[in-house]
Amino acid sequence: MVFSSLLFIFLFFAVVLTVYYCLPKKFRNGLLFVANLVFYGYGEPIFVLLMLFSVALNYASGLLLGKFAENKKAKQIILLLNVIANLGLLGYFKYAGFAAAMLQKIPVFAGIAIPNIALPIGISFYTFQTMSYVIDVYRGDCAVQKSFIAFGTYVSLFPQLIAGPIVRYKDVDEQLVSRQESLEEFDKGVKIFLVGLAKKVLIANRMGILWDTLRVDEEAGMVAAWVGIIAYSLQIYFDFSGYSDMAIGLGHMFGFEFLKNFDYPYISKSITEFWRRWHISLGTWFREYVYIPLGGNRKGKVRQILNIFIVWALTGLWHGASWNFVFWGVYFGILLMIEKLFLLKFLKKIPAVFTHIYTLFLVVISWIFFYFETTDGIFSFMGRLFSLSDGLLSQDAAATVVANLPLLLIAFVACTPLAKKVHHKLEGKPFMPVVDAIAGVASLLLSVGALVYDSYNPFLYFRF
Amino acid sequence: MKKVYKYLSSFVFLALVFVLLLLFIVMPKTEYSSNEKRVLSEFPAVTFDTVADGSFGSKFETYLSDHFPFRNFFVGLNAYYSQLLGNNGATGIYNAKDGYLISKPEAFNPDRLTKNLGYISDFAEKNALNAVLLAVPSPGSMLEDKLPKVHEEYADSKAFALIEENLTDSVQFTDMRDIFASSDEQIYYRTDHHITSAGSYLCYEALCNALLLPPVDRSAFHVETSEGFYGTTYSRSGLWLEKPDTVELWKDDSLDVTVWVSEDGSENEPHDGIFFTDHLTEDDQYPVFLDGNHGYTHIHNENADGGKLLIVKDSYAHCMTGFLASHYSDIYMIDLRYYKLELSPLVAEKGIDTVLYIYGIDNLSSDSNIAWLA
Repeated sequence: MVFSSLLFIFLFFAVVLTVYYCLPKKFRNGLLFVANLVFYGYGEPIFVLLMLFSVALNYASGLLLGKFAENKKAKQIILLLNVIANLGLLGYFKYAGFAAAMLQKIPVFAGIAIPNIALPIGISFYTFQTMSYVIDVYRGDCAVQKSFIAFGTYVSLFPQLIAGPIVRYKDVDEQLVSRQESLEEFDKGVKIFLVGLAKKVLIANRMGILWDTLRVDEEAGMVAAWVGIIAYSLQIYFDFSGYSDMAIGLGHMFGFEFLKNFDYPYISKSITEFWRRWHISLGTWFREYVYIPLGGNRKGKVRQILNIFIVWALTGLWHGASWNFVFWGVYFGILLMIEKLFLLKFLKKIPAVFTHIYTLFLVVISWIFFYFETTDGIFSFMGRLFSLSDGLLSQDAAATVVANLPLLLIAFVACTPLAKKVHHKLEGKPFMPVVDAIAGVASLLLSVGALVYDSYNPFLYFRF
Repeated sequence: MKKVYKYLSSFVFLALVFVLLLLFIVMPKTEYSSNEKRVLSEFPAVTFDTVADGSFGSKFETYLSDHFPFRNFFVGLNAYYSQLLGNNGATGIYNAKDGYLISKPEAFNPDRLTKNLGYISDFAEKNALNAVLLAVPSPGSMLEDKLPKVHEEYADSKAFALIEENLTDSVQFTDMRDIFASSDEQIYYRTDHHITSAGSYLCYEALCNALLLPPVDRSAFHVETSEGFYGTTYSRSGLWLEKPDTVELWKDDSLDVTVWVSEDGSENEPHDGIFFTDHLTEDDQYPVFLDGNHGYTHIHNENADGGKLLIVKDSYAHCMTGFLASHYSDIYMIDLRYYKLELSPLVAEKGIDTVLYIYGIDNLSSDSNIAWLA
């Protein structure tokens, strides 16, 4: 199930919310656990079993680590086995096909069959969450969770289950057992949720249509290719950050507080800054559980560069089991190294407008590697960006671009904190609740309009 | 009360969510969407298997969106919001000047058109028929001055050039573009892709010209009108506030014909006359002409001098065929999308000597069913 659907908003959410607040506190985690499984299993019920297995595995690992708290050797073995099991599951379901395809290229393994394994939704997210728990227990950064229900609720928590943010266990440890729901928190959550819904349905989805239209039309011309990849850049941002907003908003409605996941990344003045603002929970996870354990920057420049390289290759691979994602990660790894070595100092000296252009250009280009899975795809699209062989802008593409110009401008403004700043200034004014409510209703009704329209399929007369 | 005001967003949000949910549960479900011309989905079966394999889940989602309360309102809201954003054409329909709702261009498929022209020529040659092709230009290409300034390109000129180049001499081609362009009548409906009765009369005149027949003069008809026609471009657009069209029935009192319709060539219930006026009570009134799309339509005219005509067509033919009825004792109108029998035996059996191909240019360029002629 996804948040941006009629099913979620008008049925799942409405029912779960009602039951949640009718129940006494002690039953609320239990309800959430069940609700999470329904949410997760709605589309593909079979994978609920996989998730339950993962919950049990990590719950037991936690208990064992607690039991052998004084025995360093035993703890190390438990942790090692746990990490192997978690990564093994993730590896099997996400990377087995990719690995087999690689092996096939080696003559000895040419006969190997490529397994056909469906990717369970959200496995990359919840595997990282469970690992954060076990590693933190190992390190003594958080206590063992003795309640299976509470732990299961954490792993499967529906707001962040399928698209993050990746919530570290230690960040919600206390909230799992003693959280204070309040009207104030709830109201905050509603507003964040509706902002996220509008970002996803009213901007990202439409940007997706624009990108698809311009991408497919190979004679659209150079300008169209640029508008297309910019539309895709906006789609990814509003889709992902909109989803994170909805997750954070829903969290608030049920008394949870998650850390923010996006912080206006497209206003960054360097790639380094961009990655401090983009998918923050993933960057934090890799820094805390990979980069620093590898030695981070404490073992000399050479080792640091190697560590950055490893972390970014893995970051890329986390996004998908394909070489283009690895390349995409390494691309950023290299840029970050260059910035760290000398470029950052230089960027600080030049006017902001150039640093913005520099950053946005490199980020927009990166999405090409993110989108196209083959070198052919990448090169042919690059060709459209940097050659005039198809002209500047065909008539059809011009019509598409002009029709989408107002929304593009809205999206540009929405990439900046402008609206937030204005809202902040006006906070507390007596008319603000009305303004917020109107904006909220508009977001909800227009989103519902778009979602209902998706199901509106008139048969043409001649097909009748 | 103070609290309600402070947290107004939450109260309004929850009220909307729960009211819509409640309405979804209690409101009676409509089975048929006349705007979409399709049966809406039914509540899916709940069994262990359907739930376990996820098929119940996806079908229930379809059910929910098909029966969502105020569904048409939301479709309209989305359409007008797109207009407000300057995205004219977001639903596939341009909101053009003077209330015209015009489909965006279809993708042009020159290979398909070339093939179709081949089938058309071959069929005429094989059966030794006198043959005429009339392709109605797309509304968007003829009404370009009403479209938004920057709009997608219609492929009509390419398609017509291809016809002129590839059609063999065995088929006469009737080009309506100049005739339409120089006429000051309303040729196309505003809310539908079809041509009006006036437009169809112009086609009829042109066809008479090609067939060497004297057309019935305009003065022989008296015109009856029916208001409130909402056509297919209207349905697709979601722009519910647009004005409806008027359908004109050009009646020739001396014309006395019997019509049979079926999908397979059978003739069961005879109908008196070319107008099926029951359809005038529906939103989409175009089927008033010869009852809309059927595989097989037979029009018999006792008083005609004779001559048997075959029309292979799409829905653009329905109105103009009515005019032709006064010249032929029997017209057999075939729609290859529904009629799946071989046509040559029909030609031989009925003693047909002339064939008209009447298509909208977009269909002629894209319809794969024309291959049934071969």
